[in-house]
Amino acid sequence: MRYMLVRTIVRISRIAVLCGFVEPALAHHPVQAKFDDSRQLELEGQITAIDWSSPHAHIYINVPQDGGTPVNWAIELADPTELEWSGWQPDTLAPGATIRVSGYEARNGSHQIWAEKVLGPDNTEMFMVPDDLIQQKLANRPSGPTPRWPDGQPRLGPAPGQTGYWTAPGKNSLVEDGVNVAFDKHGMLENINDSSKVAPFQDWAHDLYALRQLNDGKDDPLFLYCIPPGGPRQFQVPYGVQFVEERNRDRIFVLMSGGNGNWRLVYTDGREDVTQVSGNDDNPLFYGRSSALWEGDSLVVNTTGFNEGFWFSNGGLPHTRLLELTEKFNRTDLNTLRYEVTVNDPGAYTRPWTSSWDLQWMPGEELPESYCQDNRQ
Amino acid sequence: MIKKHLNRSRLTTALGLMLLLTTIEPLQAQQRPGFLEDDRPAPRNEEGRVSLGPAPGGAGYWARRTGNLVVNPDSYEARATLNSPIHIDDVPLKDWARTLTNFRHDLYLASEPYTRCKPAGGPRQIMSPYGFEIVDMPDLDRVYIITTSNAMTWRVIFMDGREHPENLRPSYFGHSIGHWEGDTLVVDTVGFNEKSWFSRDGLPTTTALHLTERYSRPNFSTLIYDVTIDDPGAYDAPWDSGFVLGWNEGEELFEYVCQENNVSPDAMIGDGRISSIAP
Repeated sequence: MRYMLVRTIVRISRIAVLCGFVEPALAHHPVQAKFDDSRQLELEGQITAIDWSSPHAHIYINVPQDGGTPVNWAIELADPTELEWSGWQPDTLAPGATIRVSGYEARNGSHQIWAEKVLGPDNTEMFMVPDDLIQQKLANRPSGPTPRWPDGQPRLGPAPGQTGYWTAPGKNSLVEDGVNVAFDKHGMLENINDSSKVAPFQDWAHDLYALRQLNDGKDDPLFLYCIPPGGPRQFQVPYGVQFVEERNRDRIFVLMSGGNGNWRLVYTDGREDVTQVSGNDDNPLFYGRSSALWEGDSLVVNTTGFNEGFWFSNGGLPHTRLLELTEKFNRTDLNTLRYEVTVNDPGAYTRPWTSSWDLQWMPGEELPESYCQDNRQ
Repeated sequence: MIKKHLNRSRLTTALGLMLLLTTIEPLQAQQRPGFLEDDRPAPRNEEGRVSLGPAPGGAGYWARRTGNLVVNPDSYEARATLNSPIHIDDVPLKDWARTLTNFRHDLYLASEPYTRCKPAGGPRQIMSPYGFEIVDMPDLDRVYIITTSNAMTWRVIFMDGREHPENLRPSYFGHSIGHWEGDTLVVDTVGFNEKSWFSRDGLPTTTALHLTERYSRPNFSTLIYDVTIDDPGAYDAPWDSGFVLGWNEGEELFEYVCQENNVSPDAMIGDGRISSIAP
């Protein structure tokens, strides 16, 4: 998602320096709605405040003006989790320090800049989220067989006494298995002419999908209002998911990081979800109502009862209240969770279709605390 | 269908209680009208220790009744704050913290982060409307506290004897380590940020906040929450409070999305500045 953007900017800016021109680095991303990649800016000033919040940290600096009052600029950075993985700490910079920043100016002319590079007080480069951050963190993981419960059933969570979570989805958008089209990290098509290949859309659904794509995802409700990532999108969120398997109660909590830190409850004995106080009639949900059974080594989850107020995939594939998902979870070894989802939505698609990808086990780490609404006022 | 109606009527009663009980005496867990009190002993797990969850095969969650963290007659919600072990005048607030608390009340709590879908930790999580479950995962050496409201989030308590790490990033729920003292779950938490109010009355806290929470279950339907608040940034001395929660037998957490009708994207796509919220 957009948290990965900075890597792209940094990479492209290097190329730009070499080639002597600036690429449109913010293309295909909601941040483009806010920052103009054609307006490069450099600023120098004293830090007045640091807001270390999700999804984007901010540093505020006073930039001196000729013969006038300094102007306070907001410097927008990546998510604190990624910054910290890259070596930053909330106290790496402190108010009072003078820094230099280069990046892209806000479209609306406000005093904001999307940071491409930050130079600290001693002129060392402070800000760099590596291009292959997750891959670096996942390198050199121990491998092993699927951890199992005493009765042989696969564990979706850690082995006893250990910890970890699932991240790094192999796909950034829902796309029908077997279809070969290219997406960027945010689920945006590299070639908009591929839009009709992505899934067996009904005409209206295709047109809406294409429109959302042409708008660079600017109307994504997750981006705009921190609306939950229901459906398969919870397995596309930046910092992953964790399964809390309460076997004595035949239920699993799916805990999410990124998005807005929600949980989703899945029953594993096939019983119906009747938790809503106002009942299930005319009360569609963001995460739907999930009922599951184990079939061999696969957890098969059937979910219905969705509302239409969210995007169920990065990139904006539409769905309707008729949506029925069949998700299969299969932990094939210690480090791999195979996720396969069959979408049956006669309101938006001409036939049921299936998409699948792998998630990677991040061993030894806790799910990061990252709330979309953190720096919303 | 009968169950649904029962649930609805219990909720309605709960809301009615919150609005109407203006002169209630300090909490007596038993005989609270409108709630099914259950004097059976608390369920126990395989090791014989009290469980803070349902009996085997059952379901349920904890929900605050009328207790609050402090009594504050100056609150515009004064009635809602009557039921507490400590009066605001006895809370050792530093001057700035008392001024800020009063200021927040003068603004009718308009700058409340909770209504902006921020999660809130410590006692505020335990006060979440629609309640919470305490999910004990001894296999993983951790306990989760999972809420319906409070931004539909969750918090983890590490039970494996680890220490708090150094250089914590301040967070909404902080870093919690717990242990059992007999049948009481004792939780020690540090590493809070300053972005949420840890009570409904707008009491401030700082990153120096250190909470000690004690969860005990004297009978099947009662959870006693005691908390020691030690925050040398906002208070001159540690102080104690707590409240009693009731068990909602047979019910479970449900989906509750604060953001559903909360349209305020300005911070992300507007000017993105540190709050200047004002009425």
